[in-house]
Amino acid sequence: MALGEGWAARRGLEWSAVLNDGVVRGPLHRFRWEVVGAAAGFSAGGGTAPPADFEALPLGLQAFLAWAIPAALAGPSAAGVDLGRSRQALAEAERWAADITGEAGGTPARSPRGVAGSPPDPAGAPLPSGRPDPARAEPAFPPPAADVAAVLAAALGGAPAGAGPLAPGAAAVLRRLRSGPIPLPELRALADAHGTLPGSLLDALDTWAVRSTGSPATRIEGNAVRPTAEYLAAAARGEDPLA
Amino acid sequence: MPEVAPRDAQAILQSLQAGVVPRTGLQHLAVGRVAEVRQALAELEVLRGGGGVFKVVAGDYGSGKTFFLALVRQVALTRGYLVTDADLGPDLRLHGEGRGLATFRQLMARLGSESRPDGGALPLVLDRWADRVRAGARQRLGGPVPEGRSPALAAAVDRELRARLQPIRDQPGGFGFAAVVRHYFEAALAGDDVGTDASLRYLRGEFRTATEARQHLRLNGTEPATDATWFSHLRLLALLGVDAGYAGLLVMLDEGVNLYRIAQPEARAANYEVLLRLCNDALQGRAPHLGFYLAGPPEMVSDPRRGLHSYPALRSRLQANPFADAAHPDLAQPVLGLPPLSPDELLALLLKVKNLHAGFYGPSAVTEADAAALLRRLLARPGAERFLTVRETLRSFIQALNVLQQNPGLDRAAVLSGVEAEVTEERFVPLDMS
Repeated sequence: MALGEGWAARRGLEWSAVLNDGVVRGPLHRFRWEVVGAAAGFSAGGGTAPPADFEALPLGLQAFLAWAIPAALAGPSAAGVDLGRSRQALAEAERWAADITGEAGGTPARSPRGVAGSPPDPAGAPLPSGRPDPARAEPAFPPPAADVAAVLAAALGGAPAGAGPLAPGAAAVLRRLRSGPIPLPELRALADAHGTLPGSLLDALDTWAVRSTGSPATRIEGNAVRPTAEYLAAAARGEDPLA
Repeated sequence: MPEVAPRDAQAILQSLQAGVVPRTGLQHLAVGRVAEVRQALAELEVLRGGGGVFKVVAGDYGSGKTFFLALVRQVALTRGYLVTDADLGPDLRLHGEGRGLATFRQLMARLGSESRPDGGALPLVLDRWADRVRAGARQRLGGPVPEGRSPALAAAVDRELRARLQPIRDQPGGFGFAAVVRHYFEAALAGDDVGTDASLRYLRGEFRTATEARQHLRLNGTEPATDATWFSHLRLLALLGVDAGYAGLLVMLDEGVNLYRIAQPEARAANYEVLLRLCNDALQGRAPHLGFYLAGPPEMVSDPRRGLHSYPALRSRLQANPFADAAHPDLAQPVLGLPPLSPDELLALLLKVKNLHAGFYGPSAVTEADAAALLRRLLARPGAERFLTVRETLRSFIQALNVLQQNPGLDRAAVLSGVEAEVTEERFVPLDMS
């Protein structure tokens, strides 16, 4: 029986699922980042966690690392802990792992130092992080206390309802777009005729289009202004106000 | 649930299936985060009023950081702000070997407005500003505007330009920036495409040297943006944008974990130094109308060896409020922690997705009870509160909905039992040795 199998069995988990499915990865990661990281300060994830740091951990943490992380993850390097360079710690950790899991003739009465609370294994005890085991939590689904949709509706409602009237220059561009792309010199001439600059003209048209159809009406490609696919689709649905 | 346009529904479902955040229609999907959204709205008003914002959004992988940024972005665009965003990465940092400048170029290319939400808004901003200058010049003349080229109109335009560009000139690096904006104005009015293109290249940070900028612009004193000065250009752009009629400039930097991943301490510190300047500028009122959002995992902030807390000056600014806790958070502090969605919020999200799917593809046999049972199973797994990522859950759920919709004879309980939310290797934070 692999180390940890008994632990998994008492939680009603398939050990193969623990290994292959990653179901314990959540607590392991939390353990690794929040507890180990804070306790030892070594750079987990770099693959070069110094054995000295590992040995400096409370034995309970060493035990957990030695037993659980290499088992649940792909291997020692993925766990970011080089156990191979710390045989003595590993041996000690395995002994503690046996205590924790109640396997391999351990002495369950001993409590691992450095781990919050009593041995974390017995059903009903907290996980090593000290948080309650969600396996026992029965999630309920009360209705949300407040709906963000209302907040967003108020925020997005700051825009005018509907797009409002289309400025004459912008309407001219839209009308002209129906017969094909507008070369930039022609757009400039259109803008001049309306006493504005091409960018302002497109800005006015596209702001209107975004408010009325959800997408800009134009895009600049090469040396011409072309209708967007979204605008063409809206026009095909009869949403072109000038049609 | 309000009716969702088919294009929005399709875009949302496609994006979620691909594991990415939709660019539009986010309001149809948002659940929870009420307090955080309210806080973001309040901060947008700070920007509008001339203040600065610096916010670090910290949350685990898949907790919805990118979604939150996209939501704020969408609201900001709708409310008349300029917004730009970039995903930091090995080649896009805040400083070092041209990577800060590369980020600036990306930000300029993706500068969006309500009319150009997906980027490319810079020329529109400039043209809108130019139109305001012309309108202001006409007002200065008071009476009827003379026909054609008139010395009186030219003098009025010149006075208007000087008045509008003065606040920009007053900022560090503002003289060159103002000169280039004026160059753009004159070139645009003259129909000089070469001139407008050169100005746009400068403003986008595409000139590598002052000599290259001078050759194209035929202007002196136009130092182009560099790794060390690009954020000053953002400050100047914010001022220009407000003068063009926008409410402010919001800069969103996602994947901040890539700064934390930098292996070399010196390079990491240089990037944190830029963050410190951004933070100081925003919090001390030196960057009016300019807001920064940076998103990353909690360890990016709190790791005392490599995180933002490893940089003492940043640590003091980003220190958590000791009076706040998970139950009573202080959302106004610079670090905004995004807690996992609660079970009821997750269920609400699944139901929204189910309804979107049904609205677009047709009625679904999946019931609310099915969704609740699915969620109950996922949440009952050890570590669910940490490893159950919204992204993976939704992706898997939509795939199951697709199969059930296309194969009505299938046992829905059996199909839904296959919905998983895998933990990806993203949770590991490999060092970036480059």
